[in-house]
Amino acid sequence: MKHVIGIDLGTTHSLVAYRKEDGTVEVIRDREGRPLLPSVVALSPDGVRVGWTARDLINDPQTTVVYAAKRLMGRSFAETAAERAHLAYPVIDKNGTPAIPDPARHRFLTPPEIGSLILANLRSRAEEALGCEVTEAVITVPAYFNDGQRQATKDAGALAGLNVLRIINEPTAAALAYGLGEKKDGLFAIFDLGGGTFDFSLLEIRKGIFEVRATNGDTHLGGEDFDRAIMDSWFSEIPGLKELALRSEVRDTLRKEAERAKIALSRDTSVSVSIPSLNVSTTLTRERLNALVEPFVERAFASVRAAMRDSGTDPKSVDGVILVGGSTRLLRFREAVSDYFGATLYDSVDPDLVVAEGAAVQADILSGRRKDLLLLDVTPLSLGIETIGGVMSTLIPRNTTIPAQAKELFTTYVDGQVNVDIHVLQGEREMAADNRSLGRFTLSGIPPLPAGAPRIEVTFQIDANGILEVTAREQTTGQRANVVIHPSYGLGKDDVRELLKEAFAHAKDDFALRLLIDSRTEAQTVLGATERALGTVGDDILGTEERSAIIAQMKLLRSAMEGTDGKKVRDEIRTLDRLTQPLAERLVNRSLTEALSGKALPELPKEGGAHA
Amino acid sequence: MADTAIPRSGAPTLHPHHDRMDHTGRSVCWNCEKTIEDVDVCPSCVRVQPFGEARDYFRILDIPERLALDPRLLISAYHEKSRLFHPDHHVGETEKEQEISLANASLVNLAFRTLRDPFLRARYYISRKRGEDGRPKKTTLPPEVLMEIMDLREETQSLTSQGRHSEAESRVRAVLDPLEREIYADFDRIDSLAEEKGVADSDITHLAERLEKRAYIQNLLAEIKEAPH
Repeated sequence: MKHVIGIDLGTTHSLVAYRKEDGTVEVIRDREGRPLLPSVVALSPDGVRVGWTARDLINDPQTTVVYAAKRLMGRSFAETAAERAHLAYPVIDKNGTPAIPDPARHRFLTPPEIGSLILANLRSRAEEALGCEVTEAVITVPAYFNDGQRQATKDAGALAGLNVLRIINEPTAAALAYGLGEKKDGLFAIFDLGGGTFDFSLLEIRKGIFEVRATNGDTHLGGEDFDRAIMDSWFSEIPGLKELALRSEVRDTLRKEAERAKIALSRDTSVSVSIPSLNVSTTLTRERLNALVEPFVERAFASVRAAMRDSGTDPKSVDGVILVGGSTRLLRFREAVSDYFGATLYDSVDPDLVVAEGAAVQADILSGRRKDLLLLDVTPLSLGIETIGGVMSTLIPRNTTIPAQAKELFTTYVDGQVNVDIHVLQGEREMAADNRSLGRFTLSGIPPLPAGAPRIEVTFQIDANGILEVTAREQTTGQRANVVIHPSYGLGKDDVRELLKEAFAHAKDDFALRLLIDSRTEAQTVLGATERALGTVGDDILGTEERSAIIAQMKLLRSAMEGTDGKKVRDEIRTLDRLTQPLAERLVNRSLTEALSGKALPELPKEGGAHA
Repeated sequence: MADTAIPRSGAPTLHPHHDRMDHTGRSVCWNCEKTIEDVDVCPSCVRVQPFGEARDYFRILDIPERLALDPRLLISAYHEKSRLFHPDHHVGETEKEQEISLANASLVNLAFRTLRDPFLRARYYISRKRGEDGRPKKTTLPPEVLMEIMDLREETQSLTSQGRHSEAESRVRAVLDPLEREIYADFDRIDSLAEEKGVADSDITHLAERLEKRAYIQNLLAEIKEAPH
């Protein structure tokens, strides 16, 4: 069966989940059993590493360790000035787009390329676990990501060989997983406060339909702001510390210490902080922390109030509040949530896993297997066109359920005007220039009539993927022009196509090669274990016929290993597993009997015999 | 700048634009070409069908054309149609089915958005009544109502200029709340008239005026919120 995986591509950690045969969803763990993959890429002279091994190289002077690349995703170099100030790795301006130098390989990597390395790692993790090639995925993004950021995320998926069926909002994904697990109907408020972004969604769950009523957020608000506020308080308190913190490793130490203190204060009322190497010895009380984070809590609630206003909902009618993201553990934040909603707080779900699980649920819906569930999502930002005076005229207001269509009539401004420029905009500001430009096109061939006479009908159509198509039609002549808005963010379609070509040249071989290497390794283990088992058992446990069947299969497996077909190797392993299964059971029984009769346990075949 | 479009008054309402008729004027299924009613799904080949011309927002959701609507009925109708038409439930089907599901789901969303808000719903209801019968379209408020609103506005502006925003708000609410109660009473009255002897022009005009007045008063509330403290 074809698997569509769900991926949470996070700022600090990423995860992948899939739908199991029994219909539940599960996060896929790595070989060491860890569900999380640090969203870190290490560019070393001897190679590129992703995840835990990349993170371990943070202090290696030879290596550029790229983290939090999500903050740069889909934004121009100029837009990322604030983010770059907090990053310890170099970011250069490559034709207006941020890019990270990889000197060892004589190239510059854009944020989608960094993202694609993380996604490719998760993809192969999934392929390994599922035993088949995976080519389709649903990826989550913060609700407040604009079109460019969403498109960049999609491009990252494509570069990792994944057809991204849908980009869904993180809080919505969390609610999908949550609502599915609890089977509770009602109106829910979802807070997703991560390291760097804050998302708020209001969502109604009713008999399997998840209707997003409103969403809002702040792309520059998260736990790292709390840490920074704590550090700033130390700077003003401890003379000379600020100067020392210009060095990145000092900054790093302070940041970690601030984070530790913050976490401790969710439990204790006061925490002492001591860093002998920096001559820091101070105390932080919960009261002081509350005061430090208050401006951020206030900012978060500005978004909340906007969303509640948009949906026309009274906070008291909310049945439950779902908390997602590690930073929702902050006590002052929880207090503010309780005060505002007075509703039950639900945080029983693991905030780390729930977003990926929700993505897997949506993946399941899109693969056509779940007709009982449906997610009705909204467009997070208003869409419209520029009209005279540089004013934005909104056609589809924010928080409109998608798919959506809207039509509006426009006309000309001067006599005899034969062309109109349709400038498509996204955003909430009144003036076109303050909003994001999504594209422009010209409708020509308008009959030369007095100003105000032509009737130009502009249609906006947003599909379930949030892709916007704009059509303009002059009604008297039927003359029309249209454009499908491909969100852009600096990397053009052609750039992505070039990168894709490179990626594709390797992608197919990559999977085959990986499968071959992995299955050969597995075969080695299985063969070794089987051989050991055969050597320890006599005819009483293993009949001659059975033994020769196993030996024959071992031969088949060995010859498959000499070939290059990884799938064949894997199949032969499976057959050998089946043949040795009864032997493994008997061995287990014998050990149990012997153990019960006081004899020492013999060594069991480690992997082979009992292999599933 | 000369090439910029400017808004033209009067937005067109969205109409189902798929033509369900064949050349003889019969309504047929696009797929199996059997003659069918204006149904959501073809009874013989079970393919989704584009909405026919006669499907206004009430008929798109298959709910009675009434001013007073039980919100639970509205939501369950909306969810039922969403399950049927949402593109997520038509992934991997033919291009035609995906196209129909996209167009229908967009209309279902718009219908719900319009009918969910009682005042938007009433405006839509009125525009249909007038459109159908060619009745006068424009709502002009009687001068005494306009005067009343202007007086109220002067009063609230004077209050907000003294920083007495909450007083200004309660002053407006004191007019708005009874007005909304009157509007709801109109809903019930007109609904029962529609079922019995029919709705008269004067009933519609009366409701339209109250809605217009409410819109003005709503604006006053917004002005108070925006007024500097």
